[in-house]
Amino acid sequence: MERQCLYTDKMSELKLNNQAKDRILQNLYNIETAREEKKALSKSRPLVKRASFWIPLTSALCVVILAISIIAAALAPTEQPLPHVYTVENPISSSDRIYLTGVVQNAQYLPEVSALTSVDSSEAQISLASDGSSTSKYPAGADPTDMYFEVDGETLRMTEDIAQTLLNALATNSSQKENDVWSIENIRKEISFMMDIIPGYDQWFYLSGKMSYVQNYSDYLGCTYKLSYDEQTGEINMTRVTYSRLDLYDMDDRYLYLDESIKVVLNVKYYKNDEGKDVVECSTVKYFEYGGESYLYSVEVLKNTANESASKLSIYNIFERPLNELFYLPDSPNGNFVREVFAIQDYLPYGKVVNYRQIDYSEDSVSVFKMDKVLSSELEDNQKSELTFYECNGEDAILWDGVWDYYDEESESEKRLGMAAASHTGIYVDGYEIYAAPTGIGAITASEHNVFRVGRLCSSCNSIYGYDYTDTVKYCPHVRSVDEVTRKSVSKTVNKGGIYTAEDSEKTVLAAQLEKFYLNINGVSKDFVESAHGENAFEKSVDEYTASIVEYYIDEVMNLEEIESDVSDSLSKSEVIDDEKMSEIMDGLLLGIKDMESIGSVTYGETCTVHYDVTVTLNGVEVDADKKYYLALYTDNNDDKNINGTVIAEKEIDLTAQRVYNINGSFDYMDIVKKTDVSKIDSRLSGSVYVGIISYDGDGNVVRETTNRQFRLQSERIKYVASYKKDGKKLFYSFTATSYLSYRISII
Amino acid sequence: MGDIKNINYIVNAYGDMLFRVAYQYTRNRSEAEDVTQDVFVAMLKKMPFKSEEHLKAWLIRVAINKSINYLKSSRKKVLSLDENIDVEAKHSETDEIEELQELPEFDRSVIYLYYYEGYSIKEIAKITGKSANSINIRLFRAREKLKTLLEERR
Repeated sequence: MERQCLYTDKMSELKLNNQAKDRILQNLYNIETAREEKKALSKSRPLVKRASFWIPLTSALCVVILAISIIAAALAPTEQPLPHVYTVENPISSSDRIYLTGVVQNAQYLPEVSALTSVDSSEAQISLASDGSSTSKYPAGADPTDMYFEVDGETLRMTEDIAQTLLNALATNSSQKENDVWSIENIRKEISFMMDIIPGYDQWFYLSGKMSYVQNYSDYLGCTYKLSYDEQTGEINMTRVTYSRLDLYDMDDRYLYLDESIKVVLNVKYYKNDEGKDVVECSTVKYFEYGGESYLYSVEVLKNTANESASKLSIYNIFERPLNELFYLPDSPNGNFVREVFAIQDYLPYGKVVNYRQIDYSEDSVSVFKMDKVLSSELEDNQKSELTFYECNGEDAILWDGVWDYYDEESESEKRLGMAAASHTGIYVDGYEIYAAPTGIGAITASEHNVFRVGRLCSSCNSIYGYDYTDTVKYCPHVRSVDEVTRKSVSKTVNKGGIYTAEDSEKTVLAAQLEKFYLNINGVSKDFVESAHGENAFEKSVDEYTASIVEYYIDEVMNLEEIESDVSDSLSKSEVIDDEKMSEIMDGLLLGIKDMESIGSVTYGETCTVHYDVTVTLNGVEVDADKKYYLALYTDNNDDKNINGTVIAEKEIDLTAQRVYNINGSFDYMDIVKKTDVSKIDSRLSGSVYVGIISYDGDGNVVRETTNRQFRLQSERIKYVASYKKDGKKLFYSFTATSYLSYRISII
Repeated sequence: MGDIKNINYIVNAYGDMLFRVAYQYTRNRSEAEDVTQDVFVAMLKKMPFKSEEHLKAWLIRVAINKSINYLKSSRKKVLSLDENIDVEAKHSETDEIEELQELPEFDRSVIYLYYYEGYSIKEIAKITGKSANSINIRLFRAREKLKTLLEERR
């Protein structure tokens, strides 16, 4: 009764009038009708179209298709052609699956290091080719923008260390979280994963549950996906739309129900080009969805052509306003803030950032291109656009990539930015060694900044950057200003107002590289060099190109809207494959994959009983003949050699006699979980056990002989696909453990 | 339980509710109508919903967010286009409970959800993405302030 007061009476009087209601209804019907019409139209065209500029619409097309068909037919392990459409009732056969999985596994996603390097030059004098300066040397007739190293009068390509570092930089970019999802290796995993589980081709499916390698977001809501295979061209095409809910907890660490989610549309194509080379094209478009609105966050494009080029374009943070305005969390913005948003705001204060990465390579030359462009935005001076690229003058740095600002002594966290886990390359410039920092080491990873570093030592004392065993970079006394070191030959700030003062030759070099990049990605040429000479014309053409890329891929994504609608319809009808049917499908899959690699499974029931069945395949074993080895399941995951946890089960294995071993059984997880953790166990039990090869030392301590593999015990699903090679001990193994019990696949 | 796939049903069932939520912020009929329409347009993209409860909570949350965004952009416009615009004139229609208008916008929506829509504190917390404690405190403070205001004006 307390609520029935004047207030409710007054509020009841506050209503939409009929006129407004009618207007709203009419508008909604108009929108709905337009959508229906668009949907009807789109049904008549392919949902995933290839970019027009990627289609070689030449008269030779038919010949190419014929040639590829012949090659594909020759490669096919089965004489029977693959069926056009697979269904749940008529799933993909094991042999077809093996064949296609093999194609994916063998597809080249990055250049081989050996393709980029030729000579390990420990005492070499090198110089960098530039645009014709007298100090540079490069082969006659070669592209002056390529990079070459000269060793004893011979022109050579880069060394293995630098090549590997470049590849790492191209494959992943640890400064951007979402690249954990979208690294080249993960794309390979993604396709393989889909190959493993998909009941059929050319059909949209919904898949709930978590993927082990999609770890950015606490609540992975599932994905819709479609896998197509064209038996005529051999083209594999996968489109996947994932939905993830953002982490959001209140100050008491309670999860808050919110409607924010992240949608990522991934498109992957694999095919052979008209020269018969493997080509992989990938693109992602990522959105934040909040409050019924969708906010575009990033567009990324990758195209690799085997033995030719690898190009990647990333465009981030395309927001019209700061993210904190999108999220209404006024109570405790720090405590409640979305982790991802923090990452973006910390790292990208300017708004929009574009990264270009490219390696062109052949038997004769290697060219490396990296450019970062910060576009102007509402958050920064509208007249300012920052362009960062490596210097090509042959005298200063050889190649600077992601060199960071060093804020000496200001704070602990900022100091970390200056750390570099560098390694010696054995490459010398003017007698001083170049060092390179490989990707993903210690402090660099933690700093969440670009991880690829190549620097030059001081010409006065050989220690501009002293590298010691603590991975700490030190400055030599000859360097007075930090900026002189970190930015001297790295960043160029381009003001659209025309204050750009760098030499035109630099722009020309950059434009030439960008043209190659454009050709690699788009398949047609575009003139950037000419525009490099006009006032602001170069910056403008780069911006226009970037905008066109974004526009194109957004159009692609828009074509998927009707799919989402279908997905929702399907879910509402609960068209879910029952466990029995799922089991049949999976039995078929497991049988098929077993021919290629070992399979095990780890599952658990409500009683917390964990059933394990893991098979390990060992390759190239070279071990101590007097030592006993065990395949073991244990609870420890420290990095020490000795295992301090509980060995749940073990089985002695004779590594010299056979290569495939199995360990299976069950245990009660409650027996090994710590008492303090028991209270936390609820409907979502989670924990980990590990499998690996162990031995015992003279004191009875358990010794880890290989790295272990982790198995997450979760109610939703358990899957781990892994392999490991430990060259030092020459003992390496690989295994796959899979459980699909909690998957729900619905047909759309 | 109505047919939550039927736009006509949804607009009739929830149009007034959304209008009231928006009005707590905009204090202007036409602006509240605009926000209401925006919410329904967003709903079209989001449909279908799992249940009517889910739909209702979602609509309220989006209405709150859109109202806040609307206020932000509208304030910017007012300040940048013409500083002489009489901002107070926008609030001339707020005569239902005068004292309520002295509460912060968010508190007004909490009052509305609690006393009019009958949501529990826990449910309001879920809808607004805040902790139940926070809602409880806001409700308590709002009540106290209203009490004081009403006593002062007697």
